[in-house]
Amino acid sequence: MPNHEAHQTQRLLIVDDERSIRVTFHDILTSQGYAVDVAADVESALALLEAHTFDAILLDIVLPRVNGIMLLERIKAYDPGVPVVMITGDPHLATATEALRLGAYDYLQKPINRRTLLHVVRRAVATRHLLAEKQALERQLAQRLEASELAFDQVVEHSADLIFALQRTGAFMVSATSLQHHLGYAREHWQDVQALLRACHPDDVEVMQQAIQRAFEGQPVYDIELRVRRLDGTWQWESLVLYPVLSGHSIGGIMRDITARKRMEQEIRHADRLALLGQLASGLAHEIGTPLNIIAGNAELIRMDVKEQGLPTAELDAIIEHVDRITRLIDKFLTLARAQELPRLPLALHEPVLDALRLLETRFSREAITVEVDMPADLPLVLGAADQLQQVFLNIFVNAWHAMPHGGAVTITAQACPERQVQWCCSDTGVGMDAAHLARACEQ
Amino acid sequence: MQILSLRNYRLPTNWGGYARDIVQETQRIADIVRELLTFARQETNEHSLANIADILDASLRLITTQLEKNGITLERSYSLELPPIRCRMQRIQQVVLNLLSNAHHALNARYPQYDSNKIIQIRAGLHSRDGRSYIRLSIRDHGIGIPPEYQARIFEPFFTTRRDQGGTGLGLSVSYGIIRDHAGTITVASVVGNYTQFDVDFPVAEDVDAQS
Repeated sequence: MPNHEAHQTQRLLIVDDERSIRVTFHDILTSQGYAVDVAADVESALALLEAHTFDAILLDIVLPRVNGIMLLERIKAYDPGVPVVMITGDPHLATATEALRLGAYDYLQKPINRRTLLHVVRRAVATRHLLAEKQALERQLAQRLEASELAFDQVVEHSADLIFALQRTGAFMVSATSLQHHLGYAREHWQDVQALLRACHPDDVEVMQQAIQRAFEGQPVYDIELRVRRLDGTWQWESLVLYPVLSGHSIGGIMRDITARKRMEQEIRHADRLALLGQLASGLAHEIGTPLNIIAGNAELIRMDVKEQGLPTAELDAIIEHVDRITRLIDKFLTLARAQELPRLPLALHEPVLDALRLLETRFSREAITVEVDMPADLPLVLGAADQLQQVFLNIFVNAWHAMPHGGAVTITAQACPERQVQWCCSDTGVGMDAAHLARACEQ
Repeated sequence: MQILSLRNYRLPTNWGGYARDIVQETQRIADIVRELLTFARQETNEHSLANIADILDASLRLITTQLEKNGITLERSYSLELPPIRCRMQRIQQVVLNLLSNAHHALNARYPQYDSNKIIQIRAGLHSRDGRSYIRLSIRDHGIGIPPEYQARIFEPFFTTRRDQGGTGLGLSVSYGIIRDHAGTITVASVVGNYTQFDVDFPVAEDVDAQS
């Protein structure tokens, strides 16, 4: 065996009442570089044990007054790791076996030769060192583990998600910081699962209970969405994950705040609903048009009869007036709906203007109204929907016509303006508007 | 109703008939408006038991005229006998209307005018999967179909092939979310130039399921 302990002095203790053994062993072992203490009785042995730490102890089983076995027990109490080699003259092995049972490392039976002695001592010392090394490593490991657990705790504590554990007993384990941060509650009020269930939205409690039960049955539960009340009373949407750990004795849980996502989803759902409503409403507005026509027509027919009989028509007037109001409202709505449907394209203003004029041509000439159009041919194009613009021009021309019951002139001009605009003007020689009407002319 | 005060007068001509028509047409308008409001109204958070047939009827009342105006024939096959589902009705209606609106556009794109094949089939029935009962709603159109490379993307938010026609790309992604919230599934099968079919499965309400 390599003498690997030589570089560092190993300290041995020999306890034997026989002087010759003490001297012989001392000399043999000292010559090998060991530091050797000797004791003839239990008292001096205990005093030495008090003073030093030994790498191995040679102990006679038979000592005056106190049995070596008893001393073995005392030694083990002092230093559980030290290897103790029992020396026995007893050819019966019973005592030696007993000694091994009590924690002796080995035993030597007299007579003991040098070779055997050195061999056993070397082995005992080596064992002692391996043991010490092992313990040191274990200590290191424990320290590292502690450090990594600390680091892990930090991760849990500062996570935006709430990470927790639930035990079968109902005990709820969570980092106080994390709980405070995530839901606002104090740790002492969240000791068991009941706290979690109490905070749960009444509609979601059952879902939560089922999820917990399933996880305890060994099945992980993913992405359950439920509402939990924060300490400040607001509801927080959570995505919950539960998974069994420690063979089902506990479950681990992660709760993630998804309130913002849920709000976004709701807004998107709402936007979609509005888009659908828009589509539906324009279809339904057409559908409402027919019954409105029937109502107005029938009311008109009845009113004619009622009038002929000289009876009051107030109620029928009201029906006709209100139906008319609804019809106009729906027309407006449909124009708006169409405006959103129609693409705006570059176009020359001449087109819709002339189209609108063409519709009124015969009327104008019959009522002695002349039209002068002065729109330059190189007028820039504008963005718009031709059909809608035609409607606009038509309305303006009809107004002009109504303003000139005895004939007159309509003048239309247009010019390019700075800031990429085109100015279009229409004037008539009609009755005009007073200030009050002018102020309200463009109201809805 | 005010018009009924006419009873106080002698009615020489056909006033009664005119008045009846007025009442009847007013009722028609009221029905349409009520249906629209039910769908538009701020939704509640409550789930309730609802029959898929009722939801389909309500949805169709809103959209049938539009479909008919575009020469589309509706083939319905579902009964009121189906077990109920636990849901937020308006949201399921939103899904149905989205699917019908898509079918509508797919058919218009393929047949701008009337065609005998311009049909939307709407079916609902019981369907069993993994020992659970579902109501399966199928909406099938024989429109332009969805190319395979788009089929994986149609449930993505803002994915649309009709951006220029005002498509928002929200309909199917929102529908997907709604169906998921109801523990249901939606799948699509489509062949370009042939057909598109959406199958939506909603779990049958459990307490009722146990009785049947």
